[in-house]
Amino acid sequence: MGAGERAFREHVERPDFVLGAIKGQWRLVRIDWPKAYIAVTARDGTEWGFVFQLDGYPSGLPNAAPCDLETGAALAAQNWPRGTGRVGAAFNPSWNLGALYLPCDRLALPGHHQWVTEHPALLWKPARGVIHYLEIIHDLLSSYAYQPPVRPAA
Amino acid sequence: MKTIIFVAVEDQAIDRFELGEQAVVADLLALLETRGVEIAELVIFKEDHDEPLEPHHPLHGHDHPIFHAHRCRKVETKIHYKTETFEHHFAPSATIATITTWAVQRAGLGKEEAEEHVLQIHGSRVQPPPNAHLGAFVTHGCAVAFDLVRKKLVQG
Repeated sequence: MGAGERAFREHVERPDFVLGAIKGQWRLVRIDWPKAYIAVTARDGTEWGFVFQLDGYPSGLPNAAPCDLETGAALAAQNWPRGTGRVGAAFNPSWNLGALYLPCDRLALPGHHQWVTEHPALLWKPARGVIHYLEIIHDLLSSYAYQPPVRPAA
Repeated sequence: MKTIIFVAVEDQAIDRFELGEQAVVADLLALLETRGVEIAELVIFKEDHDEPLEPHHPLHGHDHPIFHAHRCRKVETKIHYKTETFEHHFAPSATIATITTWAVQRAGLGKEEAEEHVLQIHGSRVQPPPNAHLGAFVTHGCAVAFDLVRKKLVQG
């Protein structure tokens, strides 16, 4: 096992990750290094799956995108989390189907160096690792700007 | 069966502790003392509970076995919002999420607008995690100050 995978496994065993799971905020589904699949619970109870690309962890920024929790396949644009304001901006498949539009994402930060001063709280923090990224996603999905998916009547 | 709990000691990172099946608060204090923690004035709170636990209080059987150990029984908390300052005394085990909920209500924000606000350590741009305990941010005495600010839209 390489240093990156070892560091990630230590982070998901850390009390601050475990407490998020105890509180029903997120849960680790599986690790298939250098990918990890993690579910995050939204305001309406929907569990959204995310695949994290973690090579270079924890010093290198990760990349995350919505995925099907069972198959791990990327979600089609129409199946992404939806919302207005901050939520719609972060979950924006028309920008990139493979990343969240957030300063902590390795695919989003390049070309947005103003984010370093504008959004210090949303930058990647290697010491907090994936827990910080999950807190950001959970905050977005807990917001009233998040629009729960419309499900067909039973 | 062991009692597994999570405890944050003042500004230290929250940690996992294993104690005996019938462990009580006094057992936790004794364990902390063996780890070099000065326990003379230390009191134990359950997360988001206002009053400290008595030494004989059992530590097992909690759905959310999360505790905070601190020398302060209450933390004088100031929250600056625009031109106003709100003050309240919280237990050191209060989560940042709970204090934020109190602050946005005190500021008179509607529920949707409330979600768009976050606490920052006063005069900084540090935004403590919502699951963190207030006691972790006490710098001197038993007081802490925050700014209640609007979350920024990521764009550009």
